[in-house]
Amino acid sequence: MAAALAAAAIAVAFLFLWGADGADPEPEFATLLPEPLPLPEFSLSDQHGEPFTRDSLRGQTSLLFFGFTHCPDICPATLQQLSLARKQIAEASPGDPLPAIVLISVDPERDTPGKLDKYVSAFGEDVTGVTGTRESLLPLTSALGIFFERQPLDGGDYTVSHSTAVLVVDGDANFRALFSAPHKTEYFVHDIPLLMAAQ
Amino acid sequence: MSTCTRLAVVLVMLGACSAEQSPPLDVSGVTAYAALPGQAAGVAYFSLQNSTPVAVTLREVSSPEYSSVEMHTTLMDEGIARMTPLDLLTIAGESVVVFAPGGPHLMLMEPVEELATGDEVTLEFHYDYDGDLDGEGPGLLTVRTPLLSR
Repeated sequence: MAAALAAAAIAVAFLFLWGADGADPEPEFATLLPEPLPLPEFSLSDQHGEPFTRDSLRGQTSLLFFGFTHCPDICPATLQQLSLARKQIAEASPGDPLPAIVLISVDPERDTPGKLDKYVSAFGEDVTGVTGTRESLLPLTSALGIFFERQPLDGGDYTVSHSTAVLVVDGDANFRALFSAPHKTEYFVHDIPLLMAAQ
Repeated sequence: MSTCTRLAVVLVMLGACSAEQSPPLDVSGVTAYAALPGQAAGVAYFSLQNSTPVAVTLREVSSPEYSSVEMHTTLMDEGIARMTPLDLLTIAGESVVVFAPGGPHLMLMEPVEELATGDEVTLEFHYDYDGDLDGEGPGLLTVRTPLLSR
C-alpha cells in the first residue's frame, strides 16, 4: 500500500512538473489566424534585383515586416529583434529549420534594390529586402491588411506611416499568424519555434 | 564660533553637497546607433529624470558631431506607427521620460564628419524650468556616448 501511494505521489509530481494537463506548450504572444490565408500573387524585386513573388516564400517559414530604410526608430529596432531572436533560436536548437526574415519596403520610391541590399546586410545573413512600385505592392498589402501612407514633413521631406505587425507565413505561402507591436525579442524566441512546429 | 553658527555652516555645506549630488535633470541609459547603410539618420534613446518639484522643458538637443538633432516621437495607433516631430518636451516634476523604440527618440542627422561604430558623440540637452526654482535659469546637460551598431 505504501509503495502504491509513493508511486502515485511520484506520478502526480511528474505530471505537475511536466505540465498539469500534459498539454504541449502553445504560442503565447502571436495571434493565430482561424484559417491559413493563402497569399495572393504579387510581383516585386529582392535586394539583388531578382524577382520576388509568392513562390519565393515557398519552402521556408518567413517573417514579414513592412517598413522602410529611412525609418530611424521602429523598423531597425524590429529587424534587430527578429535577427537576435533567430540567432537565439538557432543556438537553442542547432540544426532545426530557421525562419527567413523579409523586409518589404513601404517606401519603394526611395528604397531601391541597391539601397536595400546595404541596409538589410546590417542585420545578418538571410535577411531579404523587397521593393517594387506602389502599384505592385498593393495586391499584397491589401490582402494582408497592411497600411502604409506618406506623411509630409517640413522642408518637403516625408516619412511613411505604416503597420508594425510581424507576419508569419508558412512554407506554402499561407499567412498563419502575426505579432503585434510592441515587439520583444523573447516573444519571438518563445513563439516562432512553436508556430513552425505546428505547420 | 558658537554652536549655532557651526550648525548653520554644516547645514549650508550639506545643502551644497545635496545640490551637487542631485542635478535637476539627469540622463541615463544612453544608447546611440549610427545610421545604417542607406539611412539618413542615426537614433538615440535614453531616460531623462527630472528630480525637481517643478516641470522642466527640454527645448533642444544638439551635437557638435551632427548638423542637426531632431526630437521625434512615434505614435502607435491600432498597430500603425506614425512619426511626428517634437518641438519641445515637458517633463513633469519628479518624473522620468523614457526615449525608447516606438516612442520619443532623437534623430541624429547629417554627421559633420564620417562616423563609425565606436566613435564617441556628444549630446547636449538644452532645458529650462517652467517655474522659478531658486533663481535657476536655463540649463545644459552634456553626455558623451559611443555609437553602437545594430
